[in-house]
Amino acid sequence: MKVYLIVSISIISFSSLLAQRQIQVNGFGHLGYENNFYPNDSIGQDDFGSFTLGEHDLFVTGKLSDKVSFLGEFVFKGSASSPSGFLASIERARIRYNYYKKHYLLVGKMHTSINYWNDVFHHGRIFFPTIDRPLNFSFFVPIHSLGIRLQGQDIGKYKFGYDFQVANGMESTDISSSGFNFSYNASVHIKPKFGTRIMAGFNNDFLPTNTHGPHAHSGSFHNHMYKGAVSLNQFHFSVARFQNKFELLNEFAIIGSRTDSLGLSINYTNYIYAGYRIKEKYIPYVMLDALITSDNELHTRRTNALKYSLGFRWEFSDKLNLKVQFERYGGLFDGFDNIPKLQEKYELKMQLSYAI
Amino acid sequence: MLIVILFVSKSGISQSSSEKFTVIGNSITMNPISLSELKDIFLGEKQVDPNNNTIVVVLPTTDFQGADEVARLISGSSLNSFRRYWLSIVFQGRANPPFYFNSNQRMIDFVRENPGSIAILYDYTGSENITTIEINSFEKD
Repeated sequence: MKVYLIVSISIISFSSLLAQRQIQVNGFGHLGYENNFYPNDSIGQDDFGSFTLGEHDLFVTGKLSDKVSFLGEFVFKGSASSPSGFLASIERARIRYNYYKKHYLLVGKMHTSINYWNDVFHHGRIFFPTIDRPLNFSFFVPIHSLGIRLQGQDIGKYKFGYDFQVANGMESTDISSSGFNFSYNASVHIKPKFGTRIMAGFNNDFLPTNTHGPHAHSGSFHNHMYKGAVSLNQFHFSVARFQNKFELLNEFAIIGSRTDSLGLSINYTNYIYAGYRIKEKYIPYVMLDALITSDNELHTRRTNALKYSLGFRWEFSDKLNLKVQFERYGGLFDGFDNIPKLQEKYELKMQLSYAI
Repeated sequence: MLIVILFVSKSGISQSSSEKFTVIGNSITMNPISLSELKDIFLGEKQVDPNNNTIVVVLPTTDFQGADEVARLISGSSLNSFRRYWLSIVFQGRANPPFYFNSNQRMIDFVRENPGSIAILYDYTGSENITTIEINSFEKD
């Protein structure tokens, strides 16, 4: 039923937009290089270096009428598990209705407005301040949601905004979900100054069999062994300040997952980025990212992770930038990315990001 | 109806540079308009007028003479940062894409034909038969 809804929305939208010639198409994407070093040979990992063809994103927007607009995002990326070596996905397909002044109704598949990163950057590497997403995106963040959403923005002196959404749960696919397991997402933010945004977000979800669908990126770190029910409650808090010179982003989250087997598990994560813009286009930066899961955690693999990096971003133009980042994993906590306790991993990464 | 709004002093920008900006709009019901409201519109933070009519934003391309000055007037940042800002809010789905033109004349032609549209001309010295309105409300800045 839901796939028919998405297909119908897409067909109706494209037909109408093409007829009115009010359609705009953009492309976003990135290319990369990654070098991994394991200084201690005893952990059984080989050093490697590799070029990588990243995600390539066809972005379509258009007006259906004065008050109704369409946004679609279609991503192509390499996949080792796909026979063709590539996967295509509909990342977003949503219709937005401006029903009153600064208030909107959205229907379709969209980025979950739970924290700053997912709402503002998501797939857009050209906007990323660092090469990688925060660690939490590989564990708990419900990145997409298919449902209905009320949105307000830029209200009053402090540019208050809200997003309230009912959507299929994290365990669902774009085709179906089981039972009546919806996720409930809510976020509010203010923008007290141009370039500054403070945001708080909440997500409630129930996963009857702890299966992860396409609305989360937790595949590698998902706990596939546990098939019992999980109830998730996430609280996110973001502070973003991107000024002419100084840039700061902090993403904090506290995630509670409850199971019948082990009860409540409380997990914490924090990502912080700071950069300084020199001559408008050169931005040296530092980043620190940590994630700590409880011993009771069953939704994902129990992980304590710390990652920190030095990087440099060169913005050739508004539509092309290069990031170079040197980072270190592990050393303080055990269990992350196959690194035993007190072992280390270093990475040197480069990423060329574009928008057309 | 094509409206031209001329800036006058008191805006925090210099008299000489402020006089180079001319705002034109088609059926925009905000008249007069403050610099604060103008910034809200050109930052995608005010997308409808008081009558709930949708506003269509027209922006300069990189080769528009005065594009840097328009970017500084609206955002206080460079043209690159201003263009990246718009790319970002469109990508977020929080604003409809603006229309880009590389000359005053092309902006005028577009605004004439599109009700709800608004543009900022730079160093305009043409002789179009258009109404001019002086801005005298900068109290919000």
